[in-house]
Amino acid sequence: MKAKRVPTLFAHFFVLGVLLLLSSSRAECQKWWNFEDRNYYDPLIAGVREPHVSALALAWADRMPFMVDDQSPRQVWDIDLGAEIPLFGRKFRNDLEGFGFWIPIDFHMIEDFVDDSGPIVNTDYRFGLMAKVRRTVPEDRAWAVRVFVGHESTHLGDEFSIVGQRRFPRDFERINVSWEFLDLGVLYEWPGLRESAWSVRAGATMTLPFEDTYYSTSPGSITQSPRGPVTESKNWIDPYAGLEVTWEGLIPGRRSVGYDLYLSTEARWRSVYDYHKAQAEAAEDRQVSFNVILGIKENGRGKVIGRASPFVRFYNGVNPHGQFRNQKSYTEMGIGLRLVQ
Amino acid sequence: MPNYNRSLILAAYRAAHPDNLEVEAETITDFDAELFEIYDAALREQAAEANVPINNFNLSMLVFFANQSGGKLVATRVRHAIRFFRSVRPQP
Repeated sequence: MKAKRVPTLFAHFFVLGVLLLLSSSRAECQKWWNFEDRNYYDPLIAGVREPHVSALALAWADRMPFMVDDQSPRQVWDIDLGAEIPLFGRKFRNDLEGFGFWIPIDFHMIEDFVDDSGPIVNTDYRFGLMAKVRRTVPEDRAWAVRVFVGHESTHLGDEFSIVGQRRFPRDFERINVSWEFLDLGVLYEWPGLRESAWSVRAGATMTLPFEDTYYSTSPGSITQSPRGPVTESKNWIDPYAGLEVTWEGLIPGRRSVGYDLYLSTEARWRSVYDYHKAQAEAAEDRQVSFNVILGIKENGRGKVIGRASPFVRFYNGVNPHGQFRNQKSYTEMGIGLRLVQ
Repeated sequence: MPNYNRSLILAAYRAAHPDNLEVEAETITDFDAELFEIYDAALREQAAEANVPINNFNLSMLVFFANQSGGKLVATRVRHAIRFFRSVRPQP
């Protein structure tokens, strides 16, 4: 229900943006921008829940609870669909720096290809309001900061849930992982050898309000478990770091710009949800969770929806999919295609 | 004092900001200064290495070409500009 506050927040920012544009002189107005993207703080390619358009189409993952067949690892695919919709902002000294506001919206779906009917196992939805500030410094370097207030809602697939309830009537539980969050991040970019563009970032994702639970536990909620009472989560901050490098034009083109090779990594100190703690006040266990993506793409930016880029991915750590975040040492890997701007 | 050929700066501005149809002179001057700050040092260095004569027209063309490139790094955009420049050999 708290998610209802977010649209009100959006409305306030729209009104603020319109007032700022209307109140500016023409020269001043042209320093403001609206509804057109700026690359102030690009999503980390390996960011597991960052807004991307990506299909990890040929992939294998460990078996998750309530899957019928015991096969593990098993064939899946993992689809991300998301974007950051630009609202408005203002440049500083040049077009490469400034501040602005975006609405990020993203969906993350995983489908199992082993059980009958190939059920969608889980879909996570996120949306919110994001502010970014970027400042360039000499020699093609830059600092940036991102503040993201959002809501995440997670949903088991209908076929998966129906079959799970039939096959595991004494164990099947549906935990309503649904929470508001504040994500703070800082980014530094610099050029390296052989026209390599490096960036490192660090941040933390925390519940809103602070110290809130990641999932519903009250009797009136849609959390259901035949295993007994569901205990609230106690951890509320997950720190993370990311490192990314793009070697521009590493594969030269005879008459064109050639192809870039990129490597993106995320390490997140994830909480391992525990829905039935013996001690309700106990903090959750944690596990460092790594995501690594290696891909190639044509140099430059796509004109319309981006450039298709083949990639390989390896993930190991806490299962990132909805209520399955109670599963440690989960591995998912595969190859796919993504759109890269 | 503008750094580059005004017509080429107007073309570069138009390409970078196709949504702006009425522009103050001050905005164009600022844009010229922005491009100078971003590209000029790298342009002069790479142009010298590539034996491209350094004069106002050539630098202006190279700034225009570099600002069309989608490379992440200034060095990459300038390299693209010089490669294109050498392939088409523009004349004033």
